Amino acid sequence: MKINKLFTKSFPYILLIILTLPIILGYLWIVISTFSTRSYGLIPVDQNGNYFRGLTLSNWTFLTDKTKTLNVSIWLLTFNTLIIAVGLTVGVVLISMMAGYALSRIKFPGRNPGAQALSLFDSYSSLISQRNSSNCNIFCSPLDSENTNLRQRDSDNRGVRLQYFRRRNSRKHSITAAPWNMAHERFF
Amino acid sequence: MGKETEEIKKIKPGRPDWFWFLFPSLLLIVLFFFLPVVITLIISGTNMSSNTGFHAWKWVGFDNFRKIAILPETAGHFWLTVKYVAVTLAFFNIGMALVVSIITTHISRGTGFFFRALWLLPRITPTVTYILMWKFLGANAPYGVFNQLIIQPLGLEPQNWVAAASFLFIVLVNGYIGASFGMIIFTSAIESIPKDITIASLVDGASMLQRIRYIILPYIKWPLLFVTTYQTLSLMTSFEQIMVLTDGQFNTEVWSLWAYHRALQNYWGNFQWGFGNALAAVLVVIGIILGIVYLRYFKFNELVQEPKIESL
Repeated sequence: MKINKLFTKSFPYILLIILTLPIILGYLWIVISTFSTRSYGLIPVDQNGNYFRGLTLSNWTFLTDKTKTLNVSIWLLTFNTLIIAVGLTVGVVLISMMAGYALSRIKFPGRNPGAQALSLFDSYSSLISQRNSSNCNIFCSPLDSENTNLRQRDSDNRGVRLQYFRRRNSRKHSITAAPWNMAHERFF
Repeated sequence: MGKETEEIKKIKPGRPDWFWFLFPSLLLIVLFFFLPVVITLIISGTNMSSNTGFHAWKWVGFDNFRKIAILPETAGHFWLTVKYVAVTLAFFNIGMALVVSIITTHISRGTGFFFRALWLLPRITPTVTYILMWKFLGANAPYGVFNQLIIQPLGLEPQNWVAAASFLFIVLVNGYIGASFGMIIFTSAIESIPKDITIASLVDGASMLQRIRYIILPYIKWPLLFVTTYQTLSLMTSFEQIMVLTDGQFNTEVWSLWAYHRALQNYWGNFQWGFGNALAAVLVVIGIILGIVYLRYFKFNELVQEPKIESL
């Protein structure tokens, strides 16, 4: 019984680790190989193939060395990357936020087909369609009267089964339709 | 309300508010989505190639498309693409995303965060580094990680798995990147399910599978449909991972990679821009049709609620 419970408890973790294994092994390999001259699988080896030898920092010399491995300083490249990343982020967030705001709050001709078509486009979709399709989780909750919307949509979309759950949950019906133990009543 | 709005509208001349809000996005879409499609369609009607250059080309009408229809390798590339998109979508971009998001939202919060962060790594790793990692995971002995940790301890014959199981590898490589997109959206959707519903189902004695079937899946129906639509379209056009991994060898030349090879990089050195664009145009047309079918079939218009106000 105890083993059984232990298994049920640890099962999701085991499954998750197995599914994530390629990522874990892959990134382990990346880290190990950057610190070694060569590697056999996950084991660093030196030139002659001796196991657990050949650990080195020489792959990382580009951090301080300006001339040998690269022609330019790595920090200049980092700075360029940062400019592109920050610039793109600000631009994309700003532009798609504006479009998302207009699409979610203002009524105008052609709005619905427009919003649908936009959700198929790259980069907009992940921001705009949050509002339209994924219950508005990431981006637009501050913009939205979230609760009423959610409730409304819930009662529209959910199956009979869930309404059944809710009805049983409410106190009004629990007297006639509560087959469960009275001890559970304390939760509500 | 009506009268006041009318008056304000009279005072404010020029374009309506929504226009200026949408203008930047519309501009970007026209410049970087709409115009390229038009250019693709135009070039696909020519015999433009590096032989003809930009001056000596001629209009050939639908010759390129006729050529696609009669080429013997077309069917192979087509079915490979269908198989690749369907398998990656079902098992990774939707299936794996769903499994990971359900598990990580039902274990301790910190552990869930940790595993979701791990799953995000492939998306933020540069493609070349990521593919290098997969190449060495599947590489032949003594370099490969899978061979060292799994195959050799089991006493099986080590080999280069990227070549031996090429289809599996292109699915794995794209799937482990693609799953994170659905994972993020599903996770936030699952976490927004009202707690009272889950508690009520627990009181009723619903098992985990029943909760997934009757609560989680109905609740994340719209995110599910959105991710399906979006990922189908993006999988159809993604080829850079396959290009870096196998470059179309070992029977992994999907349609978009075929178009790229014909138009921009091939063995013979004659870049057939016209023919490559015709291949791309087929993909665009299939994409548009699929997009419309998805929007109609999944009833996206029901999602898009009418807003409560008409102006700012």
